[in-house]
Amino acid sequence: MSRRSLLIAAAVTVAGCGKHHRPRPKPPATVPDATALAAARDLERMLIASYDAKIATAGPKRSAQLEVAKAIHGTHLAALHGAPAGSADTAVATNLHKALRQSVRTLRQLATAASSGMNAALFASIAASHEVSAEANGT
Amino acid sequence: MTELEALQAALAAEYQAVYGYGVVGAALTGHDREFATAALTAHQEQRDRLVAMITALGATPVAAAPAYRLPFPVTGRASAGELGGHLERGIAGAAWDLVAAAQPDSTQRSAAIAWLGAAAVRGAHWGMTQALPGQPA
Repeated sequence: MSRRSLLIAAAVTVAGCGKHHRPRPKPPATVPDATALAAARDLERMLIASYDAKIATAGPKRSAQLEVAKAIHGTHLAALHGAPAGSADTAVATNLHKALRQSVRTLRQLATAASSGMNAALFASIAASHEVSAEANGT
Repeated sequence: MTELEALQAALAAEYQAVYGYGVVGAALTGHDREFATAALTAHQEQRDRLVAMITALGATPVAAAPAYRLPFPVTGRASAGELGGHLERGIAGAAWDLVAAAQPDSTQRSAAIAWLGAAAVRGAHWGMTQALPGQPA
């Protein structure tokens, strides 16, 4: 560092220590993996809407099974700190089994890349649950 | 929990699963026995992979116990299936911890993600389903 830049740095430091300086506003707290969490919530909302669409046309027995499966996705959404679905513009999968399989791949990618270990474990756990759903119902 | 601690805990859980599936398989017949045998093989592979991961970190893998106390007596198909579910629940928990402790984009995390999924699917076969497999209570 040059002598001149040292002096400038010193002046800036002194100015920063002034009695009446305004405190620097704190940067907004960043949520780790915010984009990934939002993507996972969207996936859950899409699956819930897809279950709703299937339930609407299913018989009583099948409908009860689908309600149980749907409730599991509600638990996932809550774990991801997401509000329940219900928006009319939520996408609906025509092939639920395929959508579940695709969600496993997506969630595993999110888990692999997540910066927070707890978020990674949550994504991996939800992926595991979706894998069970896909295996079980072959919807 | 450090990554090494999580790896050692996962290895300890795999030793229990390998031992336990020997008991599960012995109490079953037909398709369930085949399933238990396949699960045993999968856990043996995971055990060996964990030993290699721990050794690669310059640490000494924990040793298996000569025998393990079962959480309840296995007397037939129902209790064997219950033990299978119990073992997979333990594996899922260890996998959750390893996913959380491992670095992003690491071999360890990728492996743990796959193990968590496999444990959940095998657990479901034995009637053990969880909305969030492996999540600590």
